[in-house]
Amino acid sequence: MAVSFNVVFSSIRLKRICFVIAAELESRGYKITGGGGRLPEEYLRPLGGGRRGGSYPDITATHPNYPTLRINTVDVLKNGVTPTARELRNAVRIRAQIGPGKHLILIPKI
Amino acid sequence: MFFTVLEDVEKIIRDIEASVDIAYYNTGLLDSRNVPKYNSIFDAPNVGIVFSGDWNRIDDYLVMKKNISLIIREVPQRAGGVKFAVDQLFNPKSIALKLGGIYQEKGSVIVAGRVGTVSEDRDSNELYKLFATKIKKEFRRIGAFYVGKEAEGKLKVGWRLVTDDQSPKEYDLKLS
Repeated sequence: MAVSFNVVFSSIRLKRICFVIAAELESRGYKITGGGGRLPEEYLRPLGGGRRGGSYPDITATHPNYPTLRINTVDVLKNGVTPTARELRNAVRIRAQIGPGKHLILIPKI
Repeated sequence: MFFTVLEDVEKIIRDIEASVDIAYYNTGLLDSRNVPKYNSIFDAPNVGIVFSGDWNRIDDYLVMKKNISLIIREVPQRAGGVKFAVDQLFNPKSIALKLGGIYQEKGSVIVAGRVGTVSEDRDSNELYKLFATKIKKEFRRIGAFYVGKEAEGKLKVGWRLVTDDQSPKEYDLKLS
Protein backbone atom coordinates (compact mmCIF):
# COMPACT_ATOMS: atom_id res chain seq x y z
CA MET A 1 0.00 0.00 0.00
CA ALA A 2 1.37 3.42 -0.89
CA VAL A 3 2.16 5.73 2.01
CA SER A 4 0.47 9.10 1.56
CA PHE A 5 2.40 12.35 1.39
CA ASN A 6 0.60 13.54 4.55
CA VAL A 7 1.78 10.54 6.54
CA VAL A 8 5.38 11.01 5.43
CA PHE A 9 5.24 14.75 6.04
CA SER A 10 3.72 14.25 9.53
CA SER A 11 6.44 11.76 10.38
CA ILE A 12 9.21 14.15 9.30
CA ARG A 13 7.60 17.02 11.18
CA LEU A 14 7.26 14.90 14.34
CA LYS A 15 10.92 13.89 14.15
CA ARG A 16 11.88 17.55 13.79
CA ILE A 17 9.77 18.55 16.82
CA CYS A 18 11.38 15.80 18.93
CA PHE A 19 14.83 16.79 17.70
CA VAL A 20 14.29 20.42 18.75
CA ILE A 21 12.87 19.49 22.17
CA ALA A 22 15.76 17.10 22.81
CA ALA A 23 18.28 19.82 21.87
CA GLU A 24 16.65 22.23 24.30
CA LEU A 25 16.77 19.64 27.09
CA GLU A 26 20.44 18.95 26.38
CA SER A 27 21.23 22.66 26.63
CA ARG A 28 19.74 22.51 30.12
CA GLY A 29 21.95 19.62 31.17
CA TYR A 30 19.58 16.73 30.50
CA LYS A 31 20.91 13.50 29.05
CA ILE A 32 18.62 12.03 26.39
CA THR A 33 18.36 8.33 27.22
CA GLY A 34 15.64 7.49 24.71
CA GLY A 35 14.22 9.01 21.53
CA GLY A 36 14.90 12.46 20.11
CA GLY A 37 16.65 10.81 17.15
CA ARG A 38 19.58 10.11 19.44
CA LEU A 39 18.87 6.69 20.95
CA PRO A 40 16.10 4.07 20.67
CA GLU A 41 12.89 5.10 22.40
CA GLU A 42 12.28 3.79 25.90
CA TYR A 43 9.76 0.96 26.28
CA LEU A 44 7.29 1.17 29.15
CA ARG A 45 5.88 -2.21 30.13
CA PRO A 46 2.13 -2.82 30.19
CA LEU A 47 0.39 -3.52 33.47
CA GLY A 48 0.18 -7.26 34.13
CA GLY A 49 2.81 -8.22 31.55
CA GLY A 50 2.19 -9.45 28.03
CA ARG A 51 2.96 -7.48 24.90
CA ARG A 52 -0.14 -5.29 24.50
CA GLY A 53 -0.46 -1.91 26.17
CA GLY A 54 3.22 -0.99 26.21
CA SER A 55 4.24 2.60 25.51
CA TYR A 56 7.12 4.38 23.79
CA PRO A 57 7.53 7.98 24.96
CA ASP A 58 8.97 10.22 22.23
CA ILE A 59 11.76 11.40 24.52
CA THR A 60 13.14 10.17 27.84
CA ALA A 61 15.70 12.35 29.61
CA THR A 62 17.58 12.21 32.88
CA HIS A 63 19.32 14.91 34.88
CA PRO A 64 21.72 14.51 37.79
CA ASN A 65 19.55 16.73 40.01
CA TYR A 66 16.01 16.13 38.75
CA PRO A 67 13.65 13.17 38.24
CA THR A 68 13.49 11.29 34.94
CA LEU A 69 11.44 13.20 32.38
CA ARG A 70 9.25 11.74 29.61
CA ILE A 71 7.88 13.82 26.78
CA ASN A 72 5.16 12.75 24.41
CA THR A 73 3.98 14.76 21.44
CA VAL A 74 0.22 14.49 21.11
CA ASP A 75 -2.59 15.23 18.67
CA VAL A 76 -4.78 18.03 19.94
CA LEU A 77 -8.29 19.32 19.31
CA LYS A 78 -8.99 22.42 17.21
CA ASN A 79 -8.31 24.68 20.18
CA GLY A 80 -4.66 23.71 19.80
CA VAL A 81 -4.23 22.76 23.43
CA THR A 82 -6.51 19.95 24.55
CA PRO A 83 -5.23 16.44 23.75
CA THR A 84 -7.60 14.17 21.85
CA ALA A 85 -9.41 11.46 23.83
CA ARG A 86 -7.03 8.83 22.47
CA GLU A 87 -3.95 10.82 23.48
CA LEU A 88 -5.43 11.40 26.93
CA ARG A 89 -5.98 7.67 27.39
CA ASN A 90 -2.37 7.05 26.36
CA ALA A 91 -1.16 9.73 28.76
CA VAL A 92 -3.09 8.21 31.66
CA ARG A 93 -1.55 4.82 30.85
CA ILE A 94 1.98 6.24 30.68
CA ARG A 95 1.41 8.21 33.88
CA ALA A 96 0.58 4.94 35.66
CA GLN A 97 3.51 3.11 34.06
CA ILE A 98 6.23 5.55 35.08
CA GLY A 99 5.41 5.53 38.77
CA PRO A 100 5.47 8.26 41.39
CA GLY A 101 7.85 11.21 41.28
CA LYS A 102 8.52 10.98 37.53
CA HIS A 103 7.35 13.64 35.11
CA LEU A 104 5.35 13.26 31.89
CA ILE A 105 4.99 16.31 29.65
CA LEU A 106 2.58 16.43 26.71
CA ILE A 107 3.44 18.72 23.82
CA PRO A 108 1.06 19.43 20.90
CA LYS A 109 2.23 18.06 17.56
CA ILE A 110 1.21 21.28 15.75
CA MET B 1 15.03 -5.75 25.55
CA PHE B 2 16.23 -8.36 27.95
CA PHE B 3 17.00 -9.37 31.49
CA THR B 4 20.36 -10.90 32.07
CA VAL B 5 23.05 -11.58 34.60
CA LEU B 6 26.66 -11.67 33.51
CA GLU B 7 26.75 -15.48 33.16
CA ASP B 8 23.88 -15.35 30.66
CA VAL B 9 25.46 -12.88 28.30
CA GLU B 10 29.20 -13.45 28.65
CA LYS B 11 29.55 -16.15 25.99
CA ILE B 12 27.26 -14.33 23.57
CA ILE B 13 29.31 -11.16 23.73
CA ARG B 14 32.66 -12.93 23.65
CA ASP B 15 31.53 -14.73 20.47
CA ILE B 16 30.49 -11.43 18.89
CA GLU B 17 33.73 -9.73 19.89
CA ALA B 18 35.66 -12.65 18.38
CA SER B 19 33.83 -12.32 15.07
CA VAL B 20 33.71 -8.51 14.64
CA ASP B 21 36.26 -5.88 15.61
CA ILE B 22 34.11 -3.56 17.72
CA ALA B 23 34.62 -0.86 20.31
CA TYR B 24 32.34 0.46 23.04
CA TYR B 25 31.91 4.09 24.11
CA ASN B 26 29.95 5.44 27.07
CA THR B 27 26.91 7.39 25.90
CA GLY B 28 25.70 10.50 27.65
CA LEU B 29 26.18 14.20 28.11
CA LEU B 30 29.74 14.36 29.34
CA ASP B 31 31.86 17.09 30.88
CA SER B 32 34.84 16.48 28.60
CA ARG B 33 35.80 15.11 25.20
CA ASN B 34 37.61 12.23 26.88
CA VAL B 35 35.03 9.57 26.22
CA PRO B 36 35.94 6.18 27.68
CA LYS B 37 36.54 3.60 24.94
CA TYR B 38 36.66 -0.15 25.53
CA ASN B 39 37.84 -2.79 23.09
CA SER B 40 35.80 -5.34 25.03
CA ILE B 41 32.72 -4.74 27.13
CA PHE B 42 34.48 -6.75 29.82
CA ASP B 43 37.10 -3.99 30.10
CA ALA B 44 34.37 -1.58 31.21
CA PRO B 45 33.92 -1.19 34.95
CA ASN B 46 31.17 -3.04 36.82
CA VAL B 47 29.78 -5.05 33.92
CA GLY B 48 26.76 -7.03 35.09
CA ILE B 49 26.14 -4.68 38.01
CA VAL B 50 24.05 -1.51 38.01
CA PHE B 51 23.99 1.36 40.46
CA SER B 52 20.44 2.52 39.81
CA GLY B 53 17.11 0.73 39.70
CA ASP B 54 16.04 2.88 36.74
CA TRP B 55 17.28 1.54 33.41
CA ASN B 56 17.51 5.12 32.13
CA ARG B 57 20.26 5.77 34.65
CA ILE B 58 22.52 2.78 34.06
CA ASP B 59 25.59 2.52 31.83
CA ASP B 60 24.74 2.68 28.14
CA TYR B 61 27.24 2.15 25.33
CA LEU B 62 27.55 2.98 21.67
CA VAL B 63 28.93 -0.02 19.84
CA MET B 64 30.62 0.35 16.47
CA LYS B 65 33.38 -1.08 14.38
CA LYS B 66 36.83 -0.07 15.59
CA ASN B 67 37.81 1.45 12.26
CA ILE B 68 35.03 4.05 12.51
CA SER B 69 35.72 7.24 14.43
CA LEU B 70 33.37 8.37 17.16
CA ILE B 71 31.82 11.78 16.54
CA ILE B 72 31.20 13.83 19.65
CA ARG B 73 28.63 16.67 19.60
CA GLU B 74 29.33 19.89 21.42
CA VAL B 75 26.30 21.08 23.38
CA PRO B 76 26.52 24.69 24.64
CA GLN B 77 24.83 24.97 28.01
CA ARG B 78 22.35 27.70 28.96
CA ALA B 79 24.05 27.89 32.32
CA GLY B 80 27.38 28.46 30.57
CA GLY B 81 30.11 26.16 29.35
CA VAL B 82 29.90 23.25 26.96
CA LYS B 83 29.03 19.59 27.38
CA PHE B 84 29.78 16.76 24.98
CA ALA B 85 27.07 14.41 23.76
CA VAL B 86 27.75 10.83 22.71
CA ASP B 87 24.81 9.14 21.01
CA GLN B 88 23.65 7.85 17.64
CA LEU B 89 22.71 11.22 16.15
CA PHE B 90 26.08 11.79 14.46
CA ASN B 91 27.15 8.13 14.71
CA PRO B 92 24.78 6.35 12.34
CA LYS B 93 26.98 3.27 12.03
CA SER B 94 26.56 2.50 15.73
CA ILE B 95 24.08 0.64 17.88
CA ALA B 96 23.09 1.33 21.49
CA LEU B 97 23.66 -1.34 24.12
CA LYS B 98 22.94 -1.39 27.81
CA LEU B 99 23.45 -4.68 29.57
CA GLY B 100 21.57 -4.01 32.79
CA GLY B 101 22.22 -6.51 35.54
CA ILE B 102 22.02 -6.95 39.27
CA TYR B 103 21.14 -3.85 41.27
CA GLN B 104 23.74 -4.39 43.93
CA GLU B 105 22.48 -1.80 46.40
CA LYS B 106 19.05 -3.41 46.69
CA GLY B 107 19.95 -7.06 46.03
CA SER B 108 17.46 -9.51 44.52
CA VAL B 109 16.66 -7.01 41.75
CA ILE B 110 17.69 -7.29 38.10
CA VAL B 111 17.41 -4.16 35.95
CA ALA B 112 16.64 -4.68 32.26
CA GLY B 113 19.04 -4.06 29.39
CA ARG B 114 18.45 -3.21 25.77
CA VAL B 115 20.07 -3.38 22.38
CA GLY B 116 18.69 -1.13 19.67
CA THR B 117 19.32 1.40 16.97
CA VAL B 118 17.61 4.46 15.53
CA SER B 119 19.79 4.36 12.44
CA GLU B 120 18.95 2.93 9.05
CA ASP B 121 22.61 2.60 8.12
CA ARG B 122 23.65 -0.85 6.89
CA ASP B 123 26.53 -1.23 9.37
CA SER B 124 24.27 -0.33 12.26
CA ASN B 125 21.63 -2.81 11.21
CA GLU B 126 24.19 -5.57 10.71
CA LEU B 127 25.55 -5.03 14.21
CA TYR B 128 22.05 -4.90 15.66
CA LYS B 129 21.10 -8.17 13.97
CA LEU B 130 24.28 -9.80 15.26
CA PHE B 131 23.41 -9.01 18.88
CA ALA B 132 19.65 -9.48 18.58
CA THR B 133 19.86 -12.82 16.79
CA LYS B 134 22.13 -14.34 19.42
CA ILE B 135 20.06 -12.99 22.30
CA LYS B 136 16.83 -14.25 20.76
CA LYS B 137 18.40 -17.65 20.20
CA GLU B 138 19.83 -18.10 23.68
CA PHE B 139 17.20 -16.36 25.81
CA ARG B 140 13.57 -17.22 26.47
CA ARG B 141 10.90 -14.69 25.58
CA ILE B 142 8.63 -13.67 28.44
CA GLY B 143 6.19 -10.93 27.48
CA ALA B 144 8.11 -8.31 25.52
CA PHE B 145 11.46 -9.25 27.06
CA TYR B 146 14.08 -11.91 26.45
CA VAL B 147 15.31 -13.50 29.66
CA GLY B 148 18.58 -15.34 30.21
CA LYS B 149 18.58 -18.72 31.92
CA GLU B 150 20.25 -17.51 35.12
CA ALA B 151 18.03 -14.43 35.28
CA GLU B 152 14.95 -16.62 34.83
CA GLY B 153 16.16 -18.84 37.66
CA LYS B 154 16.37 -15.81 39.91
CA LEU B 155 12.89 -14.70 38.82
CA LYS B 156 11.57 -18.12 39.86
CA VAL B 157 13.00 -17.75 43.36
CA GLY B 158 11.45 -14.34 43.87
CA TRP B 159 13.87 -11.76 42.48
CA ARG B 160 12.31 -8.65 40.94
CA LEU B 161 13.00 -8.11 37.22
CA VAL B 162 12.34 -4.43 36.54
CA THR B 163 12.93 -1.50 34.25
CA ASP B 164 12.50 0.82 37.23
CA ASP B 165 12.46 -0.48 40.77
CA GLN B 166 10.38 2.57 41.80
CA SER B 167 7.53 1.58 39.48
CA PRO B 168 4.64 -0.35 41.06
CA LYS B 169 5.41 -4.07 41.44
CA GLU B 170 2.55 -4.82 39.03
CA TYR B 171 4.97 -3.74 36.30
CA ASP B 172 7.66 -6.25 37.26
CA LEU B 173 8.26 -9.10 34.84
CA LYS B 174 6.12 -12.10 35.74
CA LEU B 175 6.39 -15.69 34.57
CA SER B 176 3.50 -16.29 32.20
